[in-house]
Amino acid sequence: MNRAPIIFLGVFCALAFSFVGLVLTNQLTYGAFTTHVDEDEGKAFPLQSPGLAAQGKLVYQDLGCVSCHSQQVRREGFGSDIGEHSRGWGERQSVARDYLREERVLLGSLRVGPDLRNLAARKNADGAEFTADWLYRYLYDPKLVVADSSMPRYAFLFKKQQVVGQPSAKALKLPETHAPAAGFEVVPTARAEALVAYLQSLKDTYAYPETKNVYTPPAPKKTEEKKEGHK
Amino acid sequence: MATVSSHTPELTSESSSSHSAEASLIDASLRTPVMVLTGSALVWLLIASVLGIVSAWQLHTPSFLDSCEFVTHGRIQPAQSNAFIYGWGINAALAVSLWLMARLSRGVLPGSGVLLLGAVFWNLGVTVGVAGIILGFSTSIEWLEIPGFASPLLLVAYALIASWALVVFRAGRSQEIYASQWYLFAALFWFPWIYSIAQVMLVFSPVRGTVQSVVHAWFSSNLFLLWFASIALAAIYYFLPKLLLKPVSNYYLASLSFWWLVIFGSWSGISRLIGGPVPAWVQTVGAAASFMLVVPLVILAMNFYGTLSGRWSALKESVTLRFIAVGILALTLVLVASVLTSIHGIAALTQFTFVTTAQAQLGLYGFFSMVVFGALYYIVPRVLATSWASAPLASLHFWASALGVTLLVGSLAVGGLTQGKLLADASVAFTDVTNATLPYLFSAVVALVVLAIGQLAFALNFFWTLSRASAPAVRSVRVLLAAQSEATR
Amino acid sequence: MSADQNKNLTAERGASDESIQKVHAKLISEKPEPTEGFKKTPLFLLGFVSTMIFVTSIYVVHYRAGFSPMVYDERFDPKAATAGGSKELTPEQVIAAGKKSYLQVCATCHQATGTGVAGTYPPLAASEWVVGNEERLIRVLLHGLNGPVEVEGKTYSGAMPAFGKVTGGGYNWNEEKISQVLTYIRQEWGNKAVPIAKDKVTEVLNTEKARAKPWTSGELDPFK
Repeated sequence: MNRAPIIFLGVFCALAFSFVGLVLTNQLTYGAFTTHVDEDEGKAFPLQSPGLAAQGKLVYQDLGCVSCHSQQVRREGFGSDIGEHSRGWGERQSVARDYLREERVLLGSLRVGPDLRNLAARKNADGAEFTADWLYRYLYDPKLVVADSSMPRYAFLFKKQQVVGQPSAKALKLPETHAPAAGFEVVPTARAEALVAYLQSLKDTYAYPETKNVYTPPAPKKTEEKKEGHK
Repeated sequence: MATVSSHTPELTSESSSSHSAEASLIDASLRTPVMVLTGSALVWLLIASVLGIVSAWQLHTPSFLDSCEFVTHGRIQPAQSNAFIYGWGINAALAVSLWLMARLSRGVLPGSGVLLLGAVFWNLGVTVGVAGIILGFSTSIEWLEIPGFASPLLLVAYALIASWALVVFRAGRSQEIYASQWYLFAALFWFPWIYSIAQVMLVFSPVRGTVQSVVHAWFSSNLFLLWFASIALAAIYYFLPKLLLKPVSNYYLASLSFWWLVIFGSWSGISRLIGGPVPAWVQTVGAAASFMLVVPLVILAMNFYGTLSGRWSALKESVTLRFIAVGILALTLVLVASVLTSIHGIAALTQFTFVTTAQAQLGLYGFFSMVVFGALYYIVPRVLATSWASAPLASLHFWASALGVTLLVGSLAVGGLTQGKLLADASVAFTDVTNATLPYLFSAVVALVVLAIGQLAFALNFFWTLSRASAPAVRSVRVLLAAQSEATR
Repeated sequence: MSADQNKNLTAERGASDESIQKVHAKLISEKPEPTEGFKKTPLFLLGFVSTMIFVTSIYVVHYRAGFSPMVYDERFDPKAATAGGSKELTPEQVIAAGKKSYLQVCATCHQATGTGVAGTYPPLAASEWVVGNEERLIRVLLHGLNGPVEVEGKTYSGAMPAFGKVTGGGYNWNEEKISQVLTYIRQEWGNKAVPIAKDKVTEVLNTEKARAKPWTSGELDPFK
């Protein structure tokens, strides 16, 4: 019992050491980052996401998408995220400021599904953009769009309704095998619309000043002209 | 002991000790709280097993149960992990640590009303939390998905239970403090700290940007190393010398390993963010701290394998030692794995794959749960003053758990490495990567079923034993103390 | 494995708690009796711990990236970069930046292959406008071009918007970006012409401060 106060002090300091060094230091150095104002474009980056996209993020959270999808792009040379011979998941490594405006940062820890950070800035497997239409059909039944997808269906985000007068502009175009009965159409619910708006807002294309801090290997001696830039 | 004998000092057996009556008094006073905590832990373990089997099967066959939004994978998976960690893990850890603390402080628990209230609140909090996840209120933060409306209840419940453990510690009469007590004392103090910081900085008043990721990584690794691992290590340090009647080998190194593990372990969680959107120096420091974990790994190996050496035959007779031996092996592997996956080249391959899942399972199930199972096999009959209802069920539990966890970790690890190699090759289409992991996911599901069978055997055994135990005679504290002073005279 | 096992599960065979504590309390202050092999233990551990500290310190120093919160690539050293005048891009970086902007915006009309669309958008590959006088080319990009133009004998009638920071311009590209894109197209698809400097773009911008609407082909003839 006589050593108990010393043990208590040690125990307190041990955790305080990592708390101060890791959590507080980072909170003080970059937790206070502000947006980067770009004079040329007259906007502050990262951009504020539109209201519907913000609601869509809540849908993303409540459905637990983060358990299979990550949202961070690693640097070139670290896996096949970006660069030459890569999956083209982004133009550059994700930096801290990309996540500045997010109330909940969802980096994710598993890639059962692909990384989604730059979904709106890249092309799908067929070389086309991820249009809202594509995303709706993918959420309704992934196998409709990608034959051997291992994503579950989110048909509960859609509703089947009777066609009244003109079919709705938002109705999904489904093939024979999945189409509803005649006189009915499948329409996305508000949650699906918000989710798709969120997915379409995912892009990190702005080049902040810190994105230039990328390691370039020293130029080989042959090409002397390159040395000019590195005095 | 001024004159040093030529071999290490032996421990005196309990039956020949003058304090054995006191031990059974302590056990009797702990009966209700330990039974309530263990019983609820086991119920949560079974719930988590069912959820785990569903979740793993959904990874293998995505169309399983995908029509109902309450059982979609994104909700079942966090429900499972939170039920396992907060329902099974913390309940069982509290049961074991209460008993260990009481025994080592040699303090009788002076009444258990507040403790029981704490246990009820805790289980209420976890129930509300897990239900909240299934209903869609998950916070989407790994291992912290329990929504903000349930977590304060958990902290209050914890405070009630842990403060009682400290009361026992202070009221106890032992003069020397043993390694187990450092770990228990430290763990009980650290958990509310890391949990409340995580809740405040992530859920209630979220910090900006990826500082959240730093806080989260700090919390997750501390939850494992500073809570679960500490309590399991406390149990191993207690049960090894106790059951082998041999002091811990190279014990003088134990305090070095304690401080080293804690100081560097609490920094090592950041290594999961290697390559991530946090400053590079943070990633480097996290990886460096992970490398440093080799030192406690070596010392703990010296302590534990050294104690077990020459006494392997004892494993045949004691189910507790068998579970603990598997736990020690898993601890060695999990520390090696965390060092290896902090090396850049390997991290590039293993990040975002099932290797991380395998590591988590190895640590939480292979190490922590196995050690706690072993501890409970020792604690429960003493607290109930009866013997286990069925030895075959205990044996079934052991073999199912050992085989199940080996198969689970093995298939997830191999599947994860396959996934990692294919992911790194951009010419492989993403759907092919995921499809390549299907056979490993299938064997993981089989492993989970085997584990569930073992857990069911344990739960059956426990509740059967509980029903057979005679009702405790009502004793007042004064009578207890009188009996104690009798024994010490 | 029946009643015996049960007895074993509960038999009081273990060591007593107080002997565990007493014995270990003595052990913690007293190393075990040195017998053969024991003396190595503390030395080996000391060596091992020192090695770990040494190796890890080197690792941290090597990959510390200046402890800067703005660096996310651990191989990058901010000090070395600023010493080299980081603001300057290498010629390769200029072309890469120009290519990026081109593919994002210009390729929509002029195509990624620089072939344009017959009748509407002129090609940039093997175009005398591109490899010719930089004064004309810079003006086209800064202020835009309306009306028919003739490129390599064929006529195209599209409307090119203004990309520079000029009145009526919607893109507001700065001089650096303009010079990067022009440098890129002047060396791509078989074109071989000297790069365009940022200062030249600034000079042209200042000369044409009064320009408020896109050029026509005829107006640019003096700059051929």
